[in-house]
Amino acid sequence: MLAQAAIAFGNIFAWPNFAFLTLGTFAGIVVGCLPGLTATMALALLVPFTFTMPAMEGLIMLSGLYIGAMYGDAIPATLINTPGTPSAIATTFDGFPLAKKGMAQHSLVAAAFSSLIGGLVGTAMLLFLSPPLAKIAIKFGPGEYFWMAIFGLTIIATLSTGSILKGLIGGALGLLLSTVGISPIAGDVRFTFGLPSLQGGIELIVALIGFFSLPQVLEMVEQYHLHKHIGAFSPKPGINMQVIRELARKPGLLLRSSLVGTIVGIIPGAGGNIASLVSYNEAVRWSSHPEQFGQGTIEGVAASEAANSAVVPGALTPLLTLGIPGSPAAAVILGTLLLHGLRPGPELYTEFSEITYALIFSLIVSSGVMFIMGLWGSQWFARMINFPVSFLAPMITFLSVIGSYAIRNNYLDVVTMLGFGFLGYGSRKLGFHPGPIVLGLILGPMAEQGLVQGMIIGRASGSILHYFFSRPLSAVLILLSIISALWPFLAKSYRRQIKRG
Amino acid sequence: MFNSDLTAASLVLGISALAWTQTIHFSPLGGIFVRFVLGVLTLLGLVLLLKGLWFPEMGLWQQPGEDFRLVLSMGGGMAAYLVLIPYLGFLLASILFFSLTSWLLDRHAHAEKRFLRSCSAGIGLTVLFFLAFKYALSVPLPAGVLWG
Repeated sequence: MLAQAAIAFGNIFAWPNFAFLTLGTFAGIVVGCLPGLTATMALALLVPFTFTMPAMEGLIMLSGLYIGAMYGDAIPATLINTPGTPSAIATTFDGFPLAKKGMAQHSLVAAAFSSLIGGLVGTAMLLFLSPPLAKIAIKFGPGEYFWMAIFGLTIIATLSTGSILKGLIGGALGLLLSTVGISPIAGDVRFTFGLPSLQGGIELIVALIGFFSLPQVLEMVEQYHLHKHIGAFSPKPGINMQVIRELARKPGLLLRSSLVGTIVGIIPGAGGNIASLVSYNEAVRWSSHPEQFGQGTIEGVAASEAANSAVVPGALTPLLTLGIPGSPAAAVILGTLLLHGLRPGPELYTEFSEITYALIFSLIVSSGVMFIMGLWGSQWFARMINFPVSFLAPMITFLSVIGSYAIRNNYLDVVTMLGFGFLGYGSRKLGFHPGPIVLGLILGPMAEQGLVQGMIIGRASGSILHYFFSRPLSAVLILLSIISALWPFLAKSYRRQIKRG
Repeated sequence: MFNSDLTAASLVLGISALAWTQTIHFSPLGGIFVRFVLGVLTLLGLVLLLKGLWFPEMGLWQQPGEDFRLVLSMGGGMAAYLVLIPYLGFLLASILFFSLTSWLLDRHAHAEKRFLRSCSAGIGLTVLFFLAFKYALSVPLPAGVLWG
């Protein structure tokens, strides 16, 4: 097996494999940069090009694209407060404040370095821990998904800047928005107000662009007389090494975020968006300076980016071992495997081990290529904030229109995006942060499906309460949810005691 | 200065009331999650209302130096842009929106220079992105009745 793995590693650097990997990584960064274009969409667009390629070349290019997109989404998140893909929601929390301080390059370098670490840790776990982790993931039933969503919702306290009460209301509003459209189990048409286009529900990316991008444009315009630019950036030598050294001194943060990303990636249905939010929450919780988060700290960017990059190998873990894709993007990769006659399971590690190990090692190599591209490109990307607001504001607006239309080619999505934009601007004035609203929107479908399916199973097996509370994995998630919900209060009283002491 | 808690609570309770009226026809399984969420939302709205009455948080629509009129103009421009796209198509509507918005914001420049700069940036950047998305990335863009 070791010999096969070594051959596979060598094959990645052979012509034209390495060229395809580099091309895929670059294309991934570009796609990740553009709000509205997701890694899944880009992978799906690329699949037809791999028809005529040998399986190894095609899979190597796809893995490069997937890894590249997970870094690329940090660029607009930092520069214009708009996540390039849903996985970069938490990157905006500190990335954009850093850009406003003229430290956009710091954020972009932190994103590149932490994405590299996330990719490496995740791939190491994929190599060594695939079978046991995949066995745990397969035990997740509706009850566990429900508690997983509840655990996710406990992050609201961290995401609410200011009032926790308003954060909870934002979360509940997000959950309510997630119920628009046809209900997943009973098929009821809910809150569509007679508009057939709303039956498919509210597209997450449309809401993300609306809540994060347009309010930012309106705020930029509002403060135009005070600031004609978002920030001022001039490249200074030594920033790259300074940021890398600073992050290298925090191995706990990088390792924890990467582990969170990998574990969330393994669970089917929970993607990079949840991983980055959970990881950000953990970074705040474990930090000795939680008050610096949200004000512009590279730790916040690193926590989010390490986690969303670790999701890539995490999502491939159940895919390669059990044939269950951990994310929509992994589902596209599954399609490519099947197209080339490769069936997930033990055969992948025996008969087709050369191709499988090439795919796994290509995640490591493309993480390295992405890191070099990100490091070199950061000083160029960061110059974008020197653009005058008079050009940037209309440009972001029409990019938002493109992004929200491209998802489903539905013009109502564009109108909905504008509505969310105005709502987001107004809600900021009322002290609401868009984070909890978006969190509710992400976790709503998982919570509802888990609750309703769990109730049906529980009723059939005799007791609903028994079903939700007695399963071991559910018990672990309930315990984690309780600890997570109480943590802000416990940490506050602990700090108060230390001050007194 | 305004009581941001009371304003927010009124809006939340208004949204909840509207949503409650819609839940009447939902089936038990299709409505259980919605009703649970609405119950929580209404409760939280009431708590915020009480907080607003006893310990109000005051907000400002406009901080010193900020210009709310520009926000209204930009917001109106965005709405008009969205109305125009189905008629003029994405490219023409975007050129018009970009040029007018940057002209409106770029007030400090000399009048003639300002007009030329806004128009050239509007046409140049919009056409560049249009070509990149439509032809290089094959991303579909909204077409118009008068010009696709």
